[in-house]
Amino acid sequence: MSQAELISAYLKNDKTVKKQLFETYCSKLNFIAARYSKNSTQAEEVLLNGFACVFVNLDQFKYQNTITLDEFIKNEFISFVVKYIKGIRNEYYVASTVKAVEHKEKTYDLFLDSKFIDVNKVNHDVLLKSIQSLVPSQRLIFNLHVIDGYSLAQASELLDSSEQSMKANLEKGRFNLQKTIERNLKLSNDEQPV
Amino acid sequence: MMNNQFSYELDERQIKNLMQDAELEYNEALWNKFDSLQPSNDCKSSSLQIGNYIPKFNFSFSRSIILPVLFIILIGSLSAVLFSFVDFKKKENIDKEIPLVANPANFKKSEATAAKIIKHTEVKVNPVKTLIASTPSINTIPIVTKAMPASKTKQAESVKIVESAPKEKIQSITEVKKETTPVVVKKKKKKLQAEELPTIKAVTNLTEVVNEPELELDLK
Repeated sequence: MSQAELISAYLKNDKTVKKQLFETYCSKLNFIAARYSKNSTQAEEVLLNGFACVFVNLDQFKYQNTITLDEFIKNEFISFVVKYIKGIRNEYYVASTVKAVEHKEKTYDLFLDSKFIDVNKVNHDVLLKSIQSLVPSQRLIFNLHVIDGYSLAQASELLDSSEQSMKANLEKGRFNLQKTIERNLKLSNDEQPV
Repeated sequence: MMNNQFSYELDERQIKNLMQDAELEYNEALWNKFDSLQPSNDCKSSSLQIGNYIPKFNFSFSRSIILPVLFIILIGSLSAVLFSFVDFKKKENIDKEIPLVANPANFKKSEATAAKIIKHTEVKVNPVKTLIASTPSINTIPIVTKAMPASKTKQAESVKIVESAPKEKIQSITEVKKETTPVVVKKKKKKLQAEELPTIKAVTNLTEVVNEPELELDLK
């Protein structure tokens, strides 16, 4: 079944087509939700609401001639996730400040020996958890700019914030991510039996 | 805080490759949960909404722009206030005295004639005594007439007082006028007595020879 046929069948409220679409994109979108969220429970919540949002807006795909259905669904999902995460105001605006104060000595340890980290050797889960441990503002911009390839201008428009604050958050996010990965690697090495 | 000594060691390209195409395992429970969820219209995309057709103006002002502008406005307004106290007129304009022209409308005196001048009228008093004396019988009429002149005289007296005031005023004004007019004293020239010269009788008849004294000429 082609994409056009899938969409036309979905618009006729065909439940099997809806399930087929869900199965096709669930695993991919689930990981995106995990990257943007702070933990697995929030990721699940984001995934279900995001899928619902994608299906609501799916009828607009016929107007988008420049991008494929995969890209359309991904873009719609990411824009929803960003709004959803930013919508949790007590986390987005408060938690970042509190966390920065709490882990001031731990995270901003400038004299810690930083060796070049080979990301290929880093466990997939360690990398995901390190990203999840970032504060929401830093996590969002890191995901948008570094992983999903959004420019700073696009990200600032999506997050409804200035480009300068995006830059600042990205720098802090990079710094914190490196230190978190280093710490997690150290912990994983210590846990390994000699 | 972050320091310049920090060196970023993460290879973002590798992270991107790892995370972009990564997937999590599909779980049937997720579909069941999703199926039980009611679709919400809150996330309706705004791509076809009317607001999209209105151009958005995004002006980003940083502190480095706003603060100097505010200071410039503040200093400018203060200097404008200070300059408002200073006159930059030329000296010539200051030296020129503006002649004061009296407005006659402001000095309109209340006309002396405005008050009604009641003419002095002499009231003739009837000779009451004679009437009483002449009529021995009691008669009320003359008594009434007696009362009347008294009031009239009183009125006349009051009238006199009213009349006297403007006259005095007028007199005083005339006196002032006399005083103000410059008195030019003309010096009387003394009359000199003219010398009487001998008159020569005019010749009436041309035929007659007249013996006139000849002038002596010195021909040297």
